[in-house]
Amino acid sequence: MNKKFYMSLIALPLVFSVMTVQAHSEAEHMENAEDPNCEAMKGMDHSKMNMSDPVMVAMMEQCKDKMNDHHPENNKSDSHGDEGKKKHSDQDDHH
Amino acid sequence: MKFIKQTSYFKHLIITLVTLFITAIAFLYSGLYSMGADDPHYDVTTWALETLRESSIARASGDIQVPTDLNEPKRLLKGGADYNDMCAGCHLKPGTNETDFTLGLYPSPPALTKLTFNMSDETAYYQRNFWIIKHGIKASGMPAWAPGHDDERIWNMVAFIKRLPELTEEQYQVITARGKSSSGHH
Repeated sequence: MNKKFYMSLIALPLVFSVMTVQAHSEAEHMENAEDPNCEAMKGMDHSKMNMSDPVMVAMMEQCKDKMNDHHPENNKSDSHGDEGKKKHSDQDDHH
Repeated sequence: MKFIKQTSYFKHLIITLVTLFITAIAFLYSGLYSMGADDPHYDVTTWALETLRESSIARASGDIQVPTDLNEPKRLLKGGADYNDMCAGCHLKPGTNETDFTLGLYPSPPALTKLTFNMSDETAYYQRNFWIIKHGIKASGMPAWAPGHDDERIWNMVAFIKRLPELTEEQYQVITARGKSSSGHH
């Protein structure tokens, strides 16, 4: 009984100290993570922006995935283009 | 005769010092001093404390090596997310002018959204901010973030704070968001 009591006396501070170290890990903040509002970027006047500015580059980096999701047409058109080219080349072969 | 005069002078000096010391101790225990954060210091006390703070930080941070890549976008993303979680409550974010913390803390935490860079020495500016974030400031409400945060993470916040006053609300939201659609800066 005494042994268990002393073990818990040692274990509890250890557990708390580990929790303290993890308290500010970046992963912990992910629980309430907010998504970047990339729609807001559409309303911005890009002509007045310096695209090499670190703030702009950071924003583009943040919205990279979302922008790709929002332009499936581009991807499709690319693939269509490839297919088209392929068809053309096939036709060329036939000719 | 001269010796007697000198002895008498030292006697009076010692009695005065002892009396002042006892009075100071009695004041400490009397409870007469108001510790309320809503009861501001006298101007002279504020001046003394601010002078002490700035001199101390300048001396302590003088040898800190500033990284050369503080303009890297990745630093803004990492530092921005941490700033939003750890600092914005007291030091504000674009579009907010006050929070319960800014209204109630004494001394009031500086609004880093409005505090534009105006120090002639950019290195000293970076060193100062790094030191304050890492070590905190006694009796001000500013915690030391060193326990649990390595130097790189603190430098990321320093990099973000430099650009913070220029950011719009929309830019701030995009840069500081940790959400799943952001491109893995977490």
